[in-house]
Amino acid sequence: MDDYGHPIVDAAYGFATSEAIPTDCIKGVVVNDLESMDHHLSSIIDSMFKSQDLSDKKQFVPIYDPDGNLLWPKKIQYAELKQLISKKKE
Amino acid sequence: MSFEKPKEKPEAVKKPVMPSPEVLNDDHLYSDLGLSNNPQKEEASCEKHLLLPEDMARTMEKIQDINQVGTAFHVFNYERDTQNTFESIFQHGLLSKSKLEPLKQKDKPSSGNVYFFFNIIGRSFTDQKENIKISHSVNSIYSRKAQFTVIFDISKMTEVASSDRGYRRHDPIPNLEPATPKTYWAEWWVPSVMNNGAPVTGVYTGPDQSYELWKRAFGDLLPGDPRILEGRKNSFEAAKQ
Repeated sequence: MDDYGHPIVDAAYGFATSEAIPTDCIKGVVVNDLESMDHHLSSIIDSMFKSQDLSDKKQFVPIYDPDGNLLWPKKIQYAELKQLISKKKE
Repeated sequence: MSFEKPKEKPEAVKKPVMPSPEVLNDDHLYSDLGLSNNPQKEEASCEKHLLLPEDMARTMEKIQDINQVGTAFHVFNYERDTQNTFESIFQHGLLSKSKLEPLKQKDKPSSGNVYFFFNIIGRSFTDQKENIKISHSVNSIYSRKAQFTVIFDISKMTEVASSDRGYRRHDPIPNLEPATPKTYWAEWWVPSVMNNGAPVTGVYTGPDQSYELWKRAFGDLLPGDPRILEGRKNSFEAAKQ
C-alpha cells in the first residue's frame, strides 16, 4: 500500500480484460514456430478471410516472423521492407 | 435420457485455403506500398498495419505514455483448438475476461521503458470447466515458446471505453482490471503477484488460498476497486522517476 492506502500494483503481473478488445486493435501476427510455418500461415490467413466473410469489417493484418521479416501478404525481408516504407515516407 | 445421433452426415473437414499472395498482390494488399495501382481498395490493405520492430517499440511507448501502464504486445498462446480461437479473435476481437499474463521481460530499450509480453489465456470466465482445462494448459506456458504473437494496439481503448462504456477517461487502462480471487484465474495471477511474477509451481492452489493471497496483497479491497487502479498508476509513476 502507498501513503494514500492504495495497493501498489505493477502492470507486469497481468490483467483480466473487463471489456472486449475489438478486432480493430489487431495490428499484426507474428509466427514464432518456424518449424510448422506453412501450416500456421495457412491457418491464420484462412481465419482472416473467414472473418471477412462473416462481417463487414475487412481485417487483414500483416504476418511476420520473429525477426521482423514480412511473411504475408508478400515475403519481404526486413531490410527491404524498411527501405520500402522509408521511400514511401519521403 | 438418451441422445439421438444426428441423422445428417457430418460435414467433411475443410482444409484451410491458402490464398495466393500473387493473386492478392495487384488488387488488395500493397497499394500503399507502391506495389499496386489499385488504391481504391486501400481499405482492404493490411499495409496500414505494417509494423517494423522499431515501430512496434514506438507503439508500445505511445501506449505507455497514454495509459501509463501496459503494452501493445500480447502473446497469444493457446494449445487447443487454435484455428477456432484465431477465427474468434479475428471475428470478435478478444472477448471480455481474457487473461493477460506476463510472459517475459523484453530487453530494455535506451528510453528506459520496460516492455512486457503477455499471454492471453482463454476467453471467458463463465465456463468453469473450460477454465479448469485452460488452467491446466497454462502449466506449460513458461516452459515453451509461444507459437504466435498477436499484436494489439490498445492505445485507443481509453477513448472507446470512455465514450461508449462510461469509464472515466483518466483511468490508466479502464478496460483492464486485476484478476479476481474468486475465479480460477486467480490461482495463477495472485500467486504470481506474491511470487514477484516468477512462475509458480502447482498452479492450482484453490480458491481459499488464492483469496488469502489476495487479502495479503490488497487487504479488504474488492476486485475492480478504483483504488487498485490508482495504486497501479502511482506505481508506474514512481517507477518512471
